[in-house]
Amino acid sequence: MTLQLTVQMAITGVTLGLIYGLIAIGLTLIFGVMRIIQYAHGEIYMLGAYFLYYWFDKWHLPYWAGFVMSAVVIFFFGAGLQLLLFRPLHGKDMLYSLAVSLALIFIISSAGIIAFGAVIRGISSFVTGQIRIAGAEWTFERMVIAGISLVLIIALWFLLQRTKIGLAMRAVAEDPETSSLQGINNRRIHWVAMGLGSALSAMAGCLMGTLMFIVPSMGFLATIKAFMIVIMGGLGSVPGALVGGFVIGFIDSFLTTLATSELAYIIGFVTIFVILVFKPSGLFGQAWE
Amino acid sequence: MNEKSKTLLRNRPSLVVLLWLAGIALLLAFPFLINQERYILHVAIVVFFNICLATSMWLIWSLGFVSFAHAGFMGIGAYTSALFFLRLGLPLWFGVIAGALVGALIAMVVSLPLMRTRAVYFFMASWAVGEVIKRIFAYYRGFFGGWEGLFRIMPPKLGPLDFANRTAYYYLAMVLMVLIVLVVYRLNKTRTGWIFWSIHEAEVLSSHVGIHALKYKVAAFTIASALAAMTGALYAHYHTYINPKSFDIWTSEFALVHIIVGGLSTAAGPVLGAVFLTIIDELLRPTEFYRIVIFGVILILTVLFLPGGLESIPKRLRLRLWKLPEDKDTQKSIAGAFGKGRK
Amino acid sequence: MRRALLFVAGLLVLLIAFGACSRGTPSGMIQDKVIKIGGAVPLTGAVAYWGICTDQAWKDGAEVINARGGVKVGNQNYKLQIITYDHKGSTPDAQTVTKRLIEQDKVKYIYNQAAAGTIGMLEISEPAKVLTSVACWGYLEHYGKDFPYHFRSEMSDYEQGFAYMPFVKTKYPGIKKAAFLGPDDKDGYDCYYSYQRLMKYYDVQDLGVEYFQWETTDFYPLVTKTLQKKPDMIITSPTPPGITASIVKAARELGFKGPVVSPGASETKTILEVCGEQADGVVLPVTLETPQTQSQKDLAERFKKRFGEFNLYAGNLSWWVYALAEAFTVAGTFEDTTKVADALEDVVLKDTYVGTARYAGEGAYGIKRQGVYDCYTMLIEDQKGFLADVRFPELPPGY
Repeated sequence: MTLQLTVQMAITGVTLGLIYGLIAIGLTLIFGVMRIIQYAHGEIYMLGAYFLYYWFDKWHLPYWAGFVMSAVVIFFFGAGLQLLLFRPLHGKDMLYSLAVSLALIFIISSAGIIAFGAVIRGISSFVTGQIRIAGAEWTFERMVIAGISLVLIIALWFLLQRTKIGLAMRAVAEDPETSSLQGINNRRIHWVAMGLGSALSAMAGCLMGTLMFIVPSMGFLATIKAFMIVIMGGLGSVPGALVGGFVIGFIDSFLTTLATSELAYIIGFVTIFVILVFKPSGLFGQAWE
Repeated sequence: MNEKSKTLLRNRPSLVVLLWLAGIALLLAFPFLINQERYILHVAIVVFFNICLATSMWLIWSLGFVSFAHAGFMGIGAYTSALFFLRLGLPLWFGVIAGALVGALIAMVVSLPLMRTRAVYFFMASWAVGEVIKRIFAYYRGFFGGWEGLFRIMPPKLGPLDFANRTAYYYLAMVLMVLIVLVVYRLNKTRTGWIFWSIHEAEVLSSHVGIHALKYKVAAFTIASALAAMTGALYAHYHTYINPKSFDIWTSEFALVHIIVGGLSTAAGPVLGAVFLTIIDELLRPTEFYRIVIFGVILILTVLFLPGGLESIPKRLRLRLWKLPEDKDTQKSIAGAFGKGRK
Repeated sequence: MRRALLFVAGLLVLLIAFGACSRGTPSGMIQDKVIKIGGAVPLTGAVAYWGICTDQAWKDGAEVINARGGVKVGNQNYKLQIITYDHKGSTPDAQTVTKRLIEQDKVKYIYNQAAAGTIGMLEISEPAKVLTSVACWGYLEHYGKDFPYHFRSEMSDYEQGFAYMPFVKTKYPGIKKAAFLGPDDKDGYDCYYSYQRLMKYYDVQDLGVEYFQWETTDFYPLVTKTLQKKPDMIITSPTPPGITASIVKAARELGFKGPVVSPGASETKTILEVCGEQADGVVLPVTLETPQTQSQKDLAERFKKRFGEFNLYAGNLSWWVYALAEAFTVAGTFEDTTKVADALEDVVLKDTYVGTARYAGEGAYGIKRQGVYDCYTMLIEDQKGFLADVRFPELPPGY
């Protein structure tokens, strides 16, 4: 194993870890605050990416404006889903929210084929060029995307820890009844959290759509990754999502390069199983009874 | 719980037995009622498999959690039976028992660490188990056949009866289905079933009154997984071809959806849900692109407007049409379900 | 008590619904002079693109033939009726669909798409002597003498290789070593086998294979590993355009300069959208994107009008239905699938969307059931996709 190969694997691992972390934080927010299983997280991610595709590649409007617009539009879409579908199920068994989000997967991904066509597309890159570190390549595109992911993760952490609405969200997550006694409007916190989680997911979709390709069935892969990371890191924990992202990112990078992609995938799941056996609430998570 | 105890007190076993017999007679006569039309028999067999999966998964649910490794255990049964047939030449009859044993053994070993996790963490951990099982079938290509799967897993023969005949296989699948539903239904009515529900309602409390919760959880998981493995064995010999993709997470998810749509509180729920949704899915097939979308809409509508699932329909009808509530409790719960009288 | 009642009620629901099921078959065209053709295709799910294209090709062809007055069989003209069911690309679903088509709708001709669906179908369609026309590259064990009604009408990457390898060798004369990337499933393994035979035939050193998972999100690690072998050329198959594009992008960013060939990716547009200026040197020997002849232009127009957009891959499959119709006329029957199969293997069509199309493969597979036709090789240079080469596969002697 040469130095160049090691550096390359490390760079890929760091980039992937940050992107995976970004895919996962939206889910961890929704999980933590509302305690519903939003299984259609990846479908929201797909919608975000398609929005940017139409904005940038079809209507030829500026990239970053589209990135922000995608987040805004999906924020309201997510909030609407919460008000329309998930609120009536609040307080019921989490299986109901699981069933509704499963139905959303069916509807959104199949309607996506009808609306956007089944043709695979790609969002054009916003920057080109790359630098070379010890013989390993790191493109500006990946660098920027990793940077944005890191900024968004820190921003969410800051929001939760240092702002009033973040405090309210944590309070609702901790104990909904006491928080509403303290004058917090739980319903509002719920749809805001859902909207925010969806918007984060949409932004992840935009970045991944730029890096990779987009297709209506791309959502489920993101859902798998997001769930693996969120559960590993612990529900509702932003640092947990970041650490989980790094674990999965490094497994993907190192094991695929040194062994096979099949083994990387199996080891990823085995790792989660082992972590859950020794830390039943994830690495940084709160217990969920 | 209240509802349950009343049902139990008002139990008139003779009538229950009679109804069961009537149902079984109906199933026995069914192939001749439809003139042995082969495609409909095929759908019926698929329905039976789905009932088996959903009902055995519901047994786990009666302790308060859902296992996403269920399809994986179905796969263990299918692969055990298929390998018995292909490598040793032993027919399904050995395979189904061996499959159940292997499934039970693996389920028991896995469930001990698995039971440390709760709620959604359990959901993910069991998903990991199911995924690893599936991947192991794919990884060991020499032994399990890898992604290309195993071919020519022929149905068994019994004397002059060849189960390659679809009507014969219908009866075979029916026997398994009735067996599984009966086991789950009876188990649910025994004292053990009560203990399951007490763990479902309040695990800490039940362990304080001396129930060894872990023991019951492992037992229920093992039994349910063994039943899923038996289903898998029959599935393999019916389809004659299996590959790891047949046992991925979607199979577990569909079983879960069947339970939720059918109803969570009684064993009739999974049965009704599996029957209803499998047939809906089949009827929607000519709608081409819109099939999955319509399926999703039906699913959402059922969850939002029929929260008790299909099994609550008679209760609702009694209340709505004939205005004959059973008692105050039910009235309240139904009113709650309809969205009235809630805070 | 209530539970038992419900059990019986459930059974009643089952019975009633089955009644509905058996009567619920499409009866749109009540005509006595009809040949039914069944479509078992994935219209939803991950392989929907290919299924939709296949379905559109057949529906369009059937409409055109019907507008002409139908197919002449014996002294009678027959219309074609297409019945399509979706199978999501899953094997058990494909079995159900096949049973429904054969047993319920009494169909004798089925078209299918993708390996999982084909495998589900074959165990039922072959004993029933139902003629099947599919696009499936994998599962070579399920193709050949033992499956006399099974036509693989889409050219597989093996046949394509005899068209694109001569082109690549003249275009990039320095190529000595090649590496292969494929999905980790039976299709990937079989395509690697095709690739190995091709490399041997064209005297290029094979540097081995890397398999990716369908769940793979990033191709950097895999491509890093592949590039350690220092290949001159990368071949990836059967890889959809999106994954091809991701592989190309990763390879270019990691410093690979040589050509990337993807016999499974049909649209240069996707590659250009994803890779931008790094797309140069991508060879896609699959579909014709710029119609050349009048009939090709007509077909593209017609598809655009009928389905809203023209999915290029549908053009590749558009000749299947005409070939089958011709076989009906030649055989003089559509009841006897054995005679139709014998007639179909000798059908030669000229001036289709893919030029000259016929069946071949007697030497290679033991049975003449493999479609071969003109291969249109698209090349990306200077961030533009253009038609670089048209040639009928230069099949080896004894193929």
